[in-house]
Amino acid sequence: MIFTVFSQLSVGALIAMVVADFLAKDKDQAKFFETGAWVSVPVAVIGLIGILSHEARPIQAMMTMTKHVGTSMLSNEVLALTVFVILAVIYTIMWVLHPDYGSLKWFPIFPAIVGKLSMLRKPLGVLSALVGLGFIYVSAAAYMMYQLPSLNILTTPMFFYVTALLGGFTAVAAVLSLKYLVKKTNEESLARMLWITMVVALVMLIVLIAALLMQPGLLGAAETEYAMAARHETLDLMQMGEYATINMARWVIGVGLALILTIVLALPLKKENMVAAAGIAVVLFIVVLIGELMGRAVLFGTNVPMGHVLPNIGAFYSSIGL
Amino acid sequence: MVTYKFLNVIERCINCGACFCICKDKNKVPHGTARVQIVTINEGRPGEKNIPVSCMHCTDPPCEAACPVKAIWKREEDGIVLMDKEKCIGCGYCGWACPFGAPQYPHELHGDAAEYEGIMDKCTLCVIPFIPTGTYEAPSPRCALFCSTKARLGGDINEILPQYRESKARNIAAWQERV
Repeated sequence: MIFTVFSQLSVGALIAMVVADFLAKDKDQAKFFETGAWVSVPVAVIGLIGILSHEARPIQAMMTMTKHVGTSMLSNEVLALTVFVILAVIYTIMWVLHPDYGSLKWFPIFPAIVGKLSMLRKPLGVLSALVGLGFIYVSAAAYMMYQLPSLNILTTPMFFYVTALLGGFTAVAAVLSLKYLVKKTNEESLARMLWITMVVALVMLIVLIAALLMQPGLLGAAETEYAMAARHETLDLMQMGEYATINMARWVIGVGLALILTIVLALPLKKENMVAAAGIAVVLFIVVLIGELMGRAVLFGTNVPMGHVLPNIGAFYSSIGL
Repeated sequence: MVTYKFLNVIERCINCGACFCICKDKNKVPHGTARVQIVTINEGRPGEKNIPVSCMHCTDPPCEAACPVKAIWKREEDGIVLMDKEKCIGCGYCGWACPFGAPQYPHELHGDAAEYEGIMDKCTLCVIPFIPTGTYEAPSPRCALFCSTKARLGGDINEILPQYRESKARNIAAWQERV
């Protein structure tokens, strides 16, 4: 849960920074946006810690998980994440070590090198974003196997891409908003970033609602009896079982409240009340993060692998009257 | 070529638990983990069936494909799916990939077994015990040898398939009469 949410959020945060990179018209604006570059890599590190901490042998896992690339989807996923993180680290370095506005411009030697290569930053950012989007696809594919019928549906990649873009953009917007609340400068830059964040969040929330509404229908049918048993058990857990409450809370917080805050964000932005807009952006990120974590808890918590259904197949046959 | 498999004549299984017990004893499988378990369908009702479920040593094992560290492999000479506990990182992905739920992840282990906390364990046709000794024993599935009703057949597929077919044909008719 921690791994998928944070690794996807890291991709979204990098995409938001690439957008900010194209928005920055001068050094002053670039200096304001530079703070957002600190989001992607630390968040990816939290994700990496997340994947390693639930292994029985975390250190060994770190060294060997990409041994079966091409065949094991888990190896493919870890390799794709590793490539993305390497690119994200280089992209972040090109922001934070920039000789004119980087937070670490006092660092010896490196800022001069970064300064000479600064024209490569945008292409590198675009490449990193594409690799990140590819990583999310591989990540979704790792769960979309016939033995996991509850995850082997279209909504799995939809949830993953929503987490990336909704979480990533709101995370960067929140960090920039906090910077604005402290320094009270670059109103225009923040306003442009918040407008973009608002549009992205709105689109992603519509996609999320569509995915959540599609999910019960997709879980209601299956090609085989075992897959049907697994999907029915998932539906039961989601709608009536132990995850019903958290699923409802996700709808209220992660969808309803997030949608309200996203729409409300337009009001202070229109009135150019940037303090209020910045405050809403920070709250929006917190709400989105809580909602996404709850959503992921439901997604994985209600996942019933086919191998777990077999011992319960008797209950399934009984439930359908055989 | 020898190809080891399990076949279950489920009409014969009476859920006595002998396969479960002998497996535990032979392979020293700790409490909370089972290399073979008996699944009962329609318990206490007409049409009740018991199925001993373990690793089926698939021809094309999905657990082998899923394992990110190549800890699982299918032995070429006899088709037995084995695992290397030293390579396993305990990610649990094979457990998701197996349609029979065969890979187990033991927890709360004590003594010598504690080293294998969270590390995958599954049926190896009695080739590797729960705590690996570093050597491979000759395949000899005790669950099949000790099955009191010969419901569980284990061994070379060329030997057990005729037995299975004969037993199945006789027992289906008897089972249908009973229900």
